[in-house]
Amino acid sequence: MGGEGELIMMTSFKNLLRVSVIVPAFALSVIGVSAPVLAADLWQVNADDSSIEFTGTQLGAEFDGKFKTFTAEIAFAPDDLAGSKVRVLIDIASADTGNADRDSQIISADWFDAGQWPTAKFETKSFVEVAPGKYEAIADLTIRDVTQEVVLPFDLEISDSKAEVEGRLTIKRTDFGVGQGQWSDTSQVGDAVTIKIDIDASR
Amino acid sequence: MALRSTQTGFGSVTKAVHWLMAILFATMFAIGWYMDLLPLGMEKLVWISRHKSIGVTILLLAILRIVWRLAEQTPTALGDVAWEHRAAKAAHLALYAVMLAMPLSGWLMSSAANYSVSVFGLFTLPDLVGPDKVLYEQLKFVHWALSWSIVGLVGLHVGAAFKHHFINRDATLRRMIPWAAKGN
Repeated sequence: MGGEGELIMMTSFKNLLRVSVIVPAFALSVIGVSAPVLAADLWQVNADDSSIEFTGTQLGAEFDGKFKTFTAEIAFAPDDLAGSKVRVLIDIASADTGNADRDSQIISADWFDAGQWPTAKFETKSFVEVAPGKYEAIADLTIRDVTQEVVLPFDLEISDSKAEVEGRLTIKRTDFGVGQGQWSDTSQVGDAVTIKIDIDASR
Repeated sequence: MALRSTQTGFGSVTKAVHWLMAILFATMFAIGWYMDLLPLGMEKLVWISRHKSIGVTILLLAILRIVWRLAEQTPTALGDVAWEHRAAKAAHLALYAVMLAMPLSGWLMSSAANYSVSVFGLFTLPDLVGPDKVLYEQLKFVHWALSWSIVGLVGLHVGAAFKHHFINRDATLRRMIPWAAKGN
């Protein structure tokens, strides 16, 4: 358990793709409080092989970006979906679209307003297995001060202690107030944004 | 008026493309400056969109124009000063070069900035290079430098046409006028 704590420390100091897994149970055990028994397995995200990317459109052309920093608490077991829960916190200021001007716009008041709302939150409410290896996560997505229920379909592959998750979700940025005032017009900056998650985790 | 140019006069295709290109050049220069001065906002993006779309149009027209020019004869240059003929030839070559280089530098610049080029929202051009901030700054300078090179070349082109018209009093300018009959 102490090793997990160290890992959290190490990964949070990484320059690139700083992804750490903060599992409350582990944190409690580190300070000597016995961890509650969780039915679902606890998973730890492998930073180097995981990403949260997005695709938007601007001036009619698509552009890609990624959030370089996010943390995820994952408790998941295919045979205990009711006891499974995932909570992801995304650092808005870590958005990288390969263009400094656009990146500084993204965090400004008209868009994500990272000064006021620095994190976006994805918190699952339930899971549904739609086919073997294929699931849907019903979750609350919070961006700025808006929380909306979303459904994230994802593929899951578990082999021994490794898991790979791939999912894709399209949302409308204006549903979350991303793009205030003149930017609520979607003719130059498209409304639809596709979020692509690719998580590599181990237990 | 014939579609194709002859030994002595320009055909209607060449004339049409010449003047269309002249209008587009002037428009692009004006939009380029205007959009650059606008504060970041919807209006700026709308004009950048138009600038890119028209730029790609110019690139296509330039290619068509060069193919057409190679496929037909060019009227013999007027006047009998040998260095002027050589200078005119060099200036025309330079004009064809910037017709290609200017939109290409803009396309490269957009690619380096990770802003792909959409043409009137109809289709998106592939990126020529990956996102690269340093390269973007260099290309931005090239695009700017080319814009002033074009101003210089067009100035020379117009000046030379007027010189032929008012000083030499030959048909150089007249034979490019759309409504004028061919001939000198």
